[in-house]
Amino acid sequence: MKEFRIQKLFNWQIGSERLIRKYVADLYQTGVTAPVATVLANNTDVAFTYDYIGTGTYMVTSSKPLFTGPNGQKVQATITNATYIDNIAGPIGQSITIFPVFDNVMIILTTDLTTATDAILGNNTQNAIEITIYP
Amino acid sequence: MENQTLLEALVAKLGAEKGQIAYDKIMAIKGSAVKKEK
Repeated sequence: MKEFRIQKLFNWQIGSERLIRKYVADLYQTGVTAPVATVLANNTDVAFTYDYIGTGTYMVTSSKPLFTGPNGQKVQATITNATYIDNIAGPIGQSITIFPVFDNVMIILTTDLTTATDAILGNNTQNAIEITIYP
Repeated sequence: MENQTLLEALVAKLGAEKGQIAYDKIMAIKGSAVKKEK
């Protein structure tokens, strides 16, 4: 007698589960210009735009409100490889922080571990912004 | 970067009220980072 295994390969086969939605984009920034985002995945139905504010300070604006409070609710925003150390003996590197300031605005701060600095995002390592929206 | 320049840039992008709020939040995070270094 033959056995048949049914594997779930696609999300549409799990009709009762609500999707976790995700936006992922590689970021690259240099000079005094806004970060350039190369979108790797986006099933959020939300568009994101980037602005240069000042040295090491950038703004991410979403086309729909994501954060209902200053700490955010059911939305997680992270940047991969946010901390990078080039030389452990005499550390030089980077730190990247992202946090919401309004329901549709986030701020990204970048430093060289000492002071606010441009040309951090995507310059030393791959830095992907990941915004996950939980149901 | 001088704080005043950052505030002016935020005000230009977000308007006076939101710009000030965003500026205060940025400074709060920068302030906490400085405290951790001590």
